Amino acid sequence: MHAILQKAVGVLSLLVVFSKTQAQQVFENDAGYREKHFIYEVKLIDEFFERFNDDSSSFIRSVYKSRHIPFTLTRDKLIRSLFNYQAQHWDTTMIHAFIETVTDPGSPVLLNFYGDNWYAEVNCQFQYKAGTVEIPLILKIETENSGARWVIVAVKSNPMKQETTEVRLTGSPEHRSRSMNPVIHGNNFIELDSVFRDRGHLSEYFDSLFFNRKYSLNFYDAIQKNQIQFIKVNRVRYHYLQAVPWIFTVDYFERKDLNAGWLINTLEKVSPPDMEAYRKKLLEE
Amino acid sequence: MLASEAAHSQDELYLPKDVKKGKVTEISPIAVKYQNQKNAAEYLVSNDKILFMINSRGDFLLPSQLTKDSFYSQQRIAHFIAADTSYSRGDQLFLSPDTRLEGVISKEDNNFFYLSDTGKVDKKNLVAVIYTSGAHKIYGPADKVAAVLEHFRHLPVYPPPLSSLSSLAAGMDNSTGNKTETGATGSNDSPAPATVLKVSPASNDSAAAAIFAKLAPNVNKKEFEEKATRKTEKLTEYLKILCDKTAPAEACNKAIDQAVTLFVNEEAKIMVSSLKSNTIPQYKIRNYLMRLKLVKYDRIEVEWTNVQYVSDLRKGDDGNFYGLVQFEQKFSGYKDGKLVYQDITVKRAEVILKTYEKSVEGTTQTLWDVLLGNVGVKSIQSL
Repeated sequence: MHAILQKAVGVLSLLVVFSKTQAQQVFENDAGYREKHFIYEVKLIDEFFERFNDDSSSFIRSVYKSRHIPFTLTRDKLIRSLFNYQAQHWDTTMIHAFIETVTDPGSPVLLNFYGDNWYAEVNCQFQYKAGTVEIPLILKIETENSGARWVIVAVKSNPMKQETTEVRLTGSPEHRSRSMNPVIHGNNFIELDSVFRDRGHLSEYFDSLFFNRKYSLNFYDAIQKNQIQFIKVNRVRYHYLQAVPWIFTVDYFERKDLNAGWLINTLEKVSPPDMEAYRKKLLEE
Repeated sequence: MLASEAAHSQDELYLPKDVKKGKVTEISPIAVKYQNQKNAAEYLVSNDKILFMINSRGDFLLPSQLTKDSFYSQQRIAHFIAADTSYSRGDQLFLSPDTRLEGVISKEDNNFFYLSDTGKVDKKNLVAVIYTSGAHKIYGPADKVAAVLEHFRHLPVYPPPLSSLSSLAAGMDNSTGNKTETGATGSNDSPAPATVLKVSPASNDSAAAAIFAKLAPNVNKKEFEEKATRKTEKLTEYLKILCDKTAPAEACNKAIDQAVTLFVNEEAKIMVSSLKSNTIPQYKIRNYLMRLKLVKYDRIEVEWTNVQYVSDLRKGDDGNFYGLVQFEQKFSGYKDGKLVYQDITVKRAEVILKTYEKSVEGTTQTLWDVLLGNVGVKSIQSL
């Protein structure tokens, strides 16, 4: 195991981010490789935060420590390893500029799980009449006092094409008795299944500004009247607007390479108005 | 002429064929929220379905004219919702086409309104009256009323003194103390300046241990990780019993009961996904265990990876602490000495740290335990 890790450290250090050929190892029969994969895959979005920020008690650091391997990876290298290197032709100058911004010694940019300006786009499949429809929902972490919860902030389409005049709000977002705990992302927001069944408290799971946004009434009405039924989450994407002036999205890549898990899949540098426009488009404002 | 008069204490939302009554509490660019005063329930009505609204103080608003990001619109909304603002200093009469008269109604008969004893307004041309008291009447269909009201959206929030306004208008024989205004169109709204996002970097205590200590000062992170690991191992032990052909039914039932106690409650779910299937069946924990009981092998082996990932603890708004544990397992089932089933699964469990108080030798101690929540089981390889 020690040797495997030493080798992997070399791989990370050289920033040869795990090519396909290397990944085509005998994953199934090689317990050592599977363990290495487990260590290097960005398993949860929580771990993406850890690595991006190079937290002193990150999982990867703790693994190195427990095996008495010196941790020589810099934050720069850790962030570089968070890019999806498959099916992406990255502009290396842009990646370099991005890393320069976020690792600036004078004002480093750290991602904040509890902060504003990062969102989960959760593509949900619903049963609708005889078929199914896919509706992307936008969720964010909301904090209150010292606690946190996931809330639904926007809905991105109205495939039912229904027109809603009036909905009755059940529950009260101002006096919540129900909420989605701050780790439901761990199981790909499958908790939404219970949320959409809890029609007696439905509005408590939504952000207070949800109803200021497009499609909100139609969606709420369809859920409340049981016109659509949640089936499953098809995929999740995270949008980060915390590293001004950069916007990046993070998707999950399930593969046997070590460059796997939650990885940056798009990156763009934007002006302040463009960043605001992106946020508004994302939230259907 | 038919007229409908509003109940004095309620706001009214006029839809093409309906009137909603209650207290308007919020107006967004999408919908109007109001509380029905009979059942205290809150409702949202889509803005595009509302022709106009008149509140209990006589202020009126057309949602179609509200502009997102407009300062003026925000002002109008605030004024409409606020409990202590009044709109007019006199009674208002709205006539077709596009005319508003303001004065003091001294008398009304079947055909006319008499203003300040000096003039009269023919009801034939009237579409709405809003009294100083806030009460109102509309004459004719709501869409026709809206067509007149929409011309008066740019009135100042607080009208200037009557003396500063021009007087007299069509429909009035004479008036000295009354004022008349014809509707205007166009917009004075200007978009609000774009907001520049400012992001503060996370505080430097983003190190998990520091956060952990801050969140749960009485709990050691290592201890939490060990306890979380122990719970997942314990669950595996019970699963082994359930799959063991030689285990008596009684032991299996006991294992199910004990396994359930590892979870926060019986509502906790197990979600099973695989590379081969698009569906993700979910089972409540007890149902899942009962199903497992039906799968029997002579011998089973469960191999754990040496490492497991334990996330930071995060405090929920219910006061509990939540975390995630992820680990891999290789499961092998044998029958008649032959390997008949094998899979490698990734298990991802929500873990919940709960504190409780216990009396020990007369003193109350705050203790804590780790319980399992929803668990995702993903098969990444199977024979």
